[in-house]
Amino acid sequence: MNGDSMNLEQKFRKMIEKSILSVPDRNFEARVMEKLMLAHSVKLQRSKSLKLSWIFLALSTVLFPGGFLFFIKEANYSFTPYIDNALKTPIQVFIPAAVIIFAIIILIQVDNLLKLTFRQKSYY
Amino acid sequence: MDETYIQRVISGDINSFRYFVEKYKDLSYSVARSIIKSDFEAEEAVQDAFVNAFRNLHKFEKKSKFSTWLYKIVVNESLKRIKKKSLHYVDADASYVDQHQESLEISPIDSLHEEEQKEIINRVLDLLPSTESLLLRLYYLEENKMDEIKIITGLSVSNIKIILFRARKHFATGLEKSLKNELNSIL
Repeated sequence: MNGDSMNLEQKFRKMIEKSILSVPDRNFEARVMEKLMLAHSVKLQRSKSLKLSWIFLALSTVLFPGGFLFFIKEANYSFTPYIDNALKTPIQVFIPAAVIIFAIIILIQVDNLLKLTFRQKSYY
Repeated sequence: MDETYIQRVISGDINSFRYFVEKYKDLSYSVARSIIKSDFEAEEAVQDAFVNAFRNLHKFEKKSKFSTWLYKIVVNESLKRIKKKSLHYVDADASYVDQHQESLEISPIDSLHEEEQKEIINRVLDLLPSTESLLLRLYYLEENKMDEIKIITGLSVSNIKIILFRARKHFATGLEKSLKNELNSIL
């Protein structure tokens, strides 16, 4: 770089340095910080909701099958003598079907919650 | 210094992010204003860029300077806003001013008041295609190196050099015209 072009570069630098613009809004910083606080509180709220979701999912995973089995056991004990033989086969089909549907629902919920949890963790 | 505040923000001290807003708001705004030729939209883009930077601070890998990373977000937000709002955007290749001019001279504006100089310079930068004014600001304001400008803009180094060369020419021509107009309006 020769002297002239260096001089020119300096002139450009000097001139462009004058082009720094100030943000017109005086409350810009306050507005940005407000948005950040909001984003943070949403994150905290989301985190709390996520914890509750995991707790309720765990509770329903344990309590619902427990209650269901208890009901089936009780129903079987109380009503079997009165249930017609023709009805026994549909009931035998219904129980495994209900278990499969329940397992699918639980798996979908676990998958969704896992996705949400990882997304939550990746957010700062 | 940036490093300390990055750690503070990541560990949960949100108020420490104010340091970055204070330090980089004007330069970020100038960068956004180069791309978006509207004060309001540029300000909104910078605001969104800061929020994005805050949300993704944990992803900042420290391979570049924090400012380089931030300006990249500002540029992306500005381009996104232009696309979203269908704002006017002039790419560097779209306009050619005085391509035959070989020598480069800058008209002296030292005789003008500081505020007038600033106004004229910004007016000329406003008339330049977005990429040209952006590169001029990135190159001269923050003394960014070519590699950093490459990260910020996504352009290749050779393209940056060509556009910068053209931008200097356009700026000098624009400044000359602007000063002539100014002089004519006075006389």
